Amino acid sequence: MIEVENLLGSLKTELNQLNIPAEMESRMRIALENRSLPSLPRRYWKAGLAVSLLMLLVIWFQRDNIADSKILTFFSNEKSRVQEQNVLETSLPMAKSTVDVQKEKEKLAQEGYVIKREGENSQEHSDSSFALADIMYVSTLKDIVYNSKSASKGEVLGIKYFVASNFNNLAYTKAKVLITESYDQKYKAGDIITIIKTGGIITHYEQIVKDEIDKKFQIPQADLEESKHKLVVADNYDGNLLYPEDKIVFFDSQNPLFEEDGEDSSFIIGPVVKFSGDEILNKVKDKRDVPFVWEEFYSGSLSDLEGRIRQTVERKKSYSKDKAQQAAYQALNDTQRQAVLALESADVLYREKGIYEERGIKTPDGTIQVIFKTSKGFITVDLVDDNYKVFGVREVRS
Amino acid sequence: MEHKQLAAMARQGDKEALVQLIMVEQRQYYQLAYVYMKNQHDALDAIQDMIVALYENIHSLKNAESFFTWSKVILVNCCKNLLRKRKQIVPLDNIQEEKDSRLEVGKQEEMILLEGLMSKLSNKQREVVNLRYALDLDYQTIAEILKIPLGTVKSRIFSSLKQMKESIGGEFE
Repeated sequence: MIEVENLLGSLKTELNQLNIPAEMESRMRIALENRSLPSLPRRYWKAGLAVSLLMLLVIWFQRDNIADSKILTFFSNEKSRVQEQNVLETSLPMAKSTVDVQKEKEKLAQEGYVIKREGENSQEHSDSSFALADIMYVSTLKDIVYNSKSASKGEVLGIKYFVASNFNNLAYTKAKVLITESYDQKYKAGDIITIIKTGGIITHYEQIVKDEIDKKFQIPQADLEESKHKLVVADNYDGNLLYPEDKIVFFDSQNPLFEEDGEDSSFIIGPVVKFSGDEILNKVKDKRDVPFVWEEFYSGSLSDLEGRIRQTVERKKSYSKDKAQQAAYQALNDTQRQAVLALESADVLYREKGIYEERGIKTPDGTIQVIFKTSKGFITVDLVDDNYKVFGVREVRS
Repeated sequence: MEHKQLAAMARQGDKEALVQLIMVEQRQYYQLAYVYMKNQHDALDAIQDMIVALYENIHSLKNAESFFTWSKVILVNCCKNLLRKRKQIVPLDNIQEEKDSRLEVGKQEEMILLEGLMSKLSNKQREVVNLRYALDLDYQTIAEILKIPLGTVKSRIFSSLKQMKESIGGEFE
């Protein structure tokens, strides 16, 4: 079999055989003849342009504040609403189901859900200082499919925002989603499920309270009152809020983190991919603000992405979390086994690109990480290969 | 003279220092231009454009140490501009145009096969494959030269190899 790498090696060989033309140096000198450095205004035209743009931006934002005292003017932006609706109208028809969508939406509205999309969608830009690639573990499509409970496609019927004050004080969106396709058949088309995703729109007051800003600073009562009427986007780490009528591909997992109204819900892991027809709508304004592997999800067409998801779902069938738990448990010594609180509660995570352990050790690609909770902290067992071979065991005391 | 000194002199408008800086890595510049332009004549044209652009913009170079990366970014842009002007579709086909006659028969067959495989790649894929395999640049350097995220470079190379391997009937793991 011809190896592609060997073939590509010949590219380099060919290039190395090139002789550097003797005239290269003289051609450069000729090009520079009669050239003089540009004048100062020409040299700094970019700076001038930048200052002008900045001033325009300041004026623009000031205008918003004067007009409305709300930063989130996109909520009342009729133009973008119409544009979004146009996009929606061209999207694929829903899978056939017996669900009366209108009736379900009316029911959700009575429960306090927002069921109508208003304003701009999907492209709120989170603070650019959040370089997510730097602060979060980046998961590949395979990681996300393997580590999720289910991979599905659906339409958002209604949403609610809330602050998880009993857990981590972050803002979340709770969404009711009508399943149109479940790639791994964990759901049925027509099911309506509840998903929870980080990021939400809350009042500025809620944000002040949840982040305990009022305890750290003396905020005048009048300002606090005013903040109750101002909306802010909070904890929107991926710059991608959910809205009613969004058509989405998503990956969900168990929701062990917190209980919301005691309702059965799933937690979103990885990116939510929004689409219209065969087009993926998550256009990244600044790619550096988004974990680079998410380009796996955002580039190409919906059908491409779905093809890759289906393939990965097929492969996942030969992957057993139970076997991984068993193999990891076998690797523990007697003392460690006694410390394990519950075998079945061990977290099992697939890491396609391996992981960096302490002291700079990187585990091989395709590591399966089994994390046992113990009375003293955690024991992590790294497994590799399809045979769940033990790569290493680490104890972490909390 | 050290590169930093040369760069500092070039920033002050010293043309000779600028030319000498390029000559330090002349092979790399020429090969980079050649990968894009595919022939000596056009490669030299691109280098001429580059040196002028460097001279006119070197005041904006804040860090003398990044001169080589910065200048290669400009060279790539000059190549793309030239190609655009000549209404060529960014033609990063492989680089063998002028030398086929020198190749052994087996090598010629390999190059034809490679050409076929490369032609199935997108322009962006061919670009990173050439920079990686023809110029032997590392991923980080490619990312800096093309001003794209490191992950994009990796994923483009990964998808290109996958596609090429699949084209010749191999499996990709």
